[in-house]
Amino acid sequence: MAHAANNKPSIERKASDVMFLAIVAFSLFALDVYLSVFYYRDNGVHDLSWLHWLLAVLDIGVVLAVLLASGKRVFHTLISMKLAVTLLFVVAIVSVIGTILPQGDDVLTSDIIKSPLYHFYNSLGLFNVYQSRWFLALLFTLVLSLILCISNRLPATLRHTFRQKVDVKDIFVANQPQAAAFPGAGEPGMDAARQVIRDHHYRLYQGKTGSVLAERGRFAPLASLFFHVSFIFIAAGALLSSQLGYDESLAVPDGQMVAVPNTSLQVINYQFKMEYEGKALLKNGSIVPVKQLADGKTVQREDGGDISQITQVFDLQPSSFISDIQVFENNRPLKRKSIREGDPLEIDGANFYQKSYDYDQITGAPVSILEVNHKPFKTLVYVGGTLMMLSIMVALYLPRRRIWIKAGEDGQLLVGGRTNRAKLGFERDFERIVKELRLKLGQEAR
Amino acid sequence: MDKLESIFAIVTLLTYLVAGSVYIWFLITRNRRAANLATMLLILGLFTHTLSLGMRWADSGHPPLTDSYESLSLFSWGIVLFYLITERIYPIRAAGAIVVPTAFVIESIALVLNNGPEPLRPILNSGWLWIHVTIAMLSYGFFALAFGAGFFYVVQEYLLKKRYQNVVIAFTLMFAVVGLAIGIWMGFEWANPTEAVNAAGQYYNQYASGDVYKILGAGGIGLVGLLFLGLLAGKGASRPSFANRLPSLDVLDEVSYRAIAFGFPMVTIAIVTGAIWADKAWGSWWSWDPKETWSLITWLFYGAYLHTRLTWGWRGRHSAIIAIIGLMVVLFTYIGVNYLLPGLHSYVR
Amino acid sequence: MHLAVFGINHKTAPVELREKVSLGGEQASELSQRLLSGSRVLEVVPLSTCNRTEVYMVASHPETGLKEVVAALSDIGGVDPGELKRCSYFHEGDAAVRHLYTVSSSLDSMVVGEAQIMGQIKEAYRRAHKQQSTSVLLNRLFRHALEAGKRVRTETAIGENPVSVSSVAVEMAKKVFGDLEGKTVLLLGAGKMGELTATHLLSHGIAGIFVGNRTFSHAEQMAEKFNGTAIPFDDLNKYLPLADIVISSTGASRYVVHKNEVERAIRRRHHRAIFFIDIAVPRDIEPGVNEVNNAFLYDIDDLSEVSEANAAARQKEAKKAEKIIEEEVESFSRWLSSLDVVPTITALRAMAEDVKEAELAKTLARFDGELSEDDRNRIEAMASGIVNKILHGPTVELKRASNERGGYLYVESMRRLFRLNGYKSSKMSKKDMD
Repeated sequence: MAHAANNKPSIERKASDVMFLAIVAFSLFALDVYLSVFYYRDNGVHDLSWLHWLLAVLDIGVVLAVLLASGKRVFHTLISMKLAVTLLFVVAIVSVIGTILPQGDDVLTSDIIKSPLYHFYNSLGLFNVYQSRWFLALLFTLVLSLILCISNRLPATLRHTFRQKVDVKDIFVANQPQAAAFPGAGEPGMDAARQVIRDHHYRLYQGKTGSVLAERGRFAPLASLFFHVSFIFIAAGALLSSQLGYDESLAVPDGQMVAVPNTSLQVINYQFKMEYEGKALLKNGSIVPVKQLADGKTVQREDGGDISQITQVFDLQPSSFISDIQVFENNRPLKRKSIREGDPLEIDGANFYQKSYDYDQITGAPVSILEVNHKPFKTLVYVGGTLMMLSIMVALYLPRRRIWIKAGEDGQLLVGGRTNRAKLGFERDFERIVKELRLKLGQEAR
Repeated sequence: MDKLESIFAIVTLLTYLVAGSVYIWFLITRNRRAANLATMLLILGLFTHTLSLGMRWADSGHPPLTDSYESLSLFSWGIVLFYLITERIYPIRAAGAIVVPTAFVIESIALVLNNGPEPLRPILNSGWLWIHVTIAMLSYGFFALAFGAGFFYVVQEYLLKKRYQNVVIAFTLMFAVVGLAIGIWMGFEWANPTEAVNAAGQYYNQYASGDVYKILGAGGIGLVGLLFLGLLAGKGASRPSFANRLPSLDVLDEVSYRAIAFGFPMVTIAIVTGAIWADKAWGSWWSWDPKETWSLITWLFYGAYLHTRLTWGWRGRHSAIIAIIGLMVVLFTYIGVNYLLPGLHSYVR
Repeated sequence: MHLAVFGINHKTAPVELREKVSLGGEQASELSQRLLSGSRVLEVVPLSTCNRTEVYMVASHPETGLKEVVAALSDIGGVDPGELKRCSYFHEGDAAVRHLYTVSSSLDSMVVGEAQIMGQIKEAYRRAHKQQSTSVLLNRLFRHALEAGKRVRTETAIGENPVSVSSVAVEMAKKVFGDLEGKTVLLLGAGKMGELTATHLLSHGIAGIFVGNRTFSHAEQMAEKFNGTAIPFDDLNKYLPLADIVISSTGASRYVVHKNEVERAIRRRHHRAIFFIDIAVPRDIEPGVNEVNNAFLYDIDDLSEVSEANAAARQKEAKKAEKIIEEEVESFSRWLSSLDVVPTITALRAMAEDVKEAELAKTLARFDGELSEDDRNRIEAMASGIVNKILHGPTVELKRASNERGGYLYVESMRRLFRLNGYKSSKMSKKDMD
């Protein structure tokens, strides 16, 4: 790593550090105010007001403490990635809480509500971890540190990717982690070396001073950077979608019209039906999987076999939910569709998904539960996700390997190279190249 | 279950058992013929395994990924496949003594849980889901490999540091944890909970009052049984000449790293495709469902592993221990969540 | 025709004698020529390494073979035949086979499990084969001996646990680094053991070596020897991070390398491992160094402990090897005895008798009592006559060939042509068949 080389600890801070410190502290404070004023109000989460002011001060205090304790320049701490990696671990560990304690409405039906510490836990946001102030603050700090890391590394990465180091000195080649010398091979051996290395799927770049760079996986470092950028895309897309769009869960009983909150839309559910899956006993005694269609009568065998062989059907469980719905805008009918899980109704500005069902408290009849949402920045999230998948594959499956070839001043042919990942794999590759080159140059192996 | 399919499955299981034993035999005697035999057996086992999975596919009409038998079987298939590939690249045959028995245990649990082909819920019949589950299972195979290499790294380092006591502790601890985990897992199966739906529309398991004893009892049996086995293995391994039988630290370190470097993009793809699928199915890409959260935790964990290595320059024992804990996180994500935490994923069991 | 081996080795003869009768390539062929020029020795393979000189041969009579070998060898080496004979061993038949197998699987070597002996045997055999001093028997014997040696190598761990202190150090270093190719060594002090270990490491592809000594000129001398770089002793800590392997054998009375320095060095090299070999007494490297992450320290006690453990392990493996050798010897001697002339002739005759009787019975049955007793006797006599006449030549030739070089070729062809291997006859007792 580039920073590791700079081992001199410098205690004194410069003006830029103070500025960074101020930016971080101010951003956290802004986040805090934003959360308490808008976010929690919208989401019905009520922190105790004195606690939230206390926490706001604590947020800043913690950041200050971390930065002061680092003993290095603030700027270096923020861009050194140590902060980001520590935060990764912290987010991972904190996320566990939310999977152990009941979250959201589940709290109301769980035993923990009877605990004397319930209010304390609640005020800490432990029953709403993923929406809690400190969790969001963590994510925010993570993204911030990520942005700083990326912007810090971007110029160097671009330089390394697009302006390759082709012209090198003899000593540079000889001092590579993997290096070999071919005495007497010199200039005439260059062609053989080019040939052999090209056969190993390296791309060659001819330098002005006679040295040659052979490279593979040139874009791995850039891809690694893009992988981190994709985070920001996803985070931004998700945040903007949730703030500028909406997401509602609606219970829509059969035949009723329900208004979608905060919009001019209404939805009517003509009929809710279920498909079942289960097993059937055949005449020959074997048991096969079957499904019962939404009409409540038709039974089909999963293996496509003859249904007249079925003597008995058992173990039926709901497998699929279907709602026949129609959407209205200001009571003007729009679209009608039979929706099921995985097959939503889509109109401009809203999607209607079949989510699950519940039983009516009084009649006991099943009630369809729909998810209605609008995510204006969905594309950004999808782009981020795609970028994430592609970039991580390039970054880890195509590690960067570089080999320099040079006819040395003393008549030797010098070959030396390095990689950023999987050292032993490259060593083997390099050894093979050296062996082939020796054969080609007619030099016996050691 | 089709008769031929079950014959192949049993043959696979027996082959893995024999191959695993031969690998252990190889570790003890260093008889290279034994190692060749073990590799050949393992290839045979992989072949019959592939056949049985293929038949299952033909039988049920959908890729074998939906119930616990199918996904576990695919898990062990992935372990064996990646191990065989690694064995071709690196001199790491001794690791077969821990990797192949792991594959055997997983495959035998898969067969215990097998209820024959299940009908497929329509929602699960989506291309995104097939990618999601297949890639997730295969990435687990890589993580299991990283675990095996990591465990042997720790053992080899203790051997080279002449801390023979620690070798015994490492073996005992590892075996005990594995025994406890398998025992508890089997205990949950034994308890056979009923599935219920909570107010939030999430599925969860309901247990009877006596179930806790079954679960703890089974866990205890597994713990004690494997603890003694680990103690024996550790005693056997804690001598200087055993270091000669294990691969070198550099090789173990790199195998562990490369396995994770291969698995990490896969788990990334699994999470992203899972989110896309959820968005298409339910209209929400992320709902902090326990399974989702735990796979995020797994992902963050291995992400942190890569960063500690590439950024902090961690290597060796620290990395090996993270790789070992990593598999525990993976297994909890994969199995523990289904039994313990309510969520949308429980019907993918 | 007898298989025999005459030889001396490190167990039976002093080095002075071994040196004298040690055979170079030319001397070996001279010996072979001389032995083969007489008619009593039929096949020869001389085998000479630094620890042994042995002559494998096939002779018509073992005693005469022995006499000729002793005479030829003492002539070539210029030693007293009596002394040579006194320090030697002589094995015949199965014992000779067993001896070669023991040698080829390195059980007879000074260092049990060493790998060179196979190459040396292969070379000796190759040379003998080229000079056509071998034939069926020794060809087969040597090929089998090499196979037996290989089998022992693959099926036991006899070659895997090094026993000398310097090779234990190299082996342990390999267990840390996997491959020593391209690694850097830092050699401290001028101790003999340190030098030896460094030499050993260099043969494994070490890239560079730094040499440090309190007296800089000593360091320079040593560095020259290893084609390395001399460093000032006070700069030790500057070079520590560059070294993958540190060998220390100074005469210092206090520690030369300390724990905190190693900690710093390892941090500087981004946690890559350093392997310390401390061969000095009193020790040069603080024992606490072993506690540092990614630092591995072996002092002389540790190394000899490993070496002893390995030696014990080798003994155990040697037991397994002996079992394998017994199996191989048995299979060879089964083949060998099949080549004996007498049982072959017996089998040939028995087979001919069987054919004769079967054919007679068939023919006589067709006449169905039309023949008189006399007629029958005449026909039988004629059949016996044909059999005996035909078999006369082969029987005589076989007996004669048994005393000739390559005579086994006849026996083997005979057995192959008449399908005598595994032939079961009502006429033969079990003993004949073996």
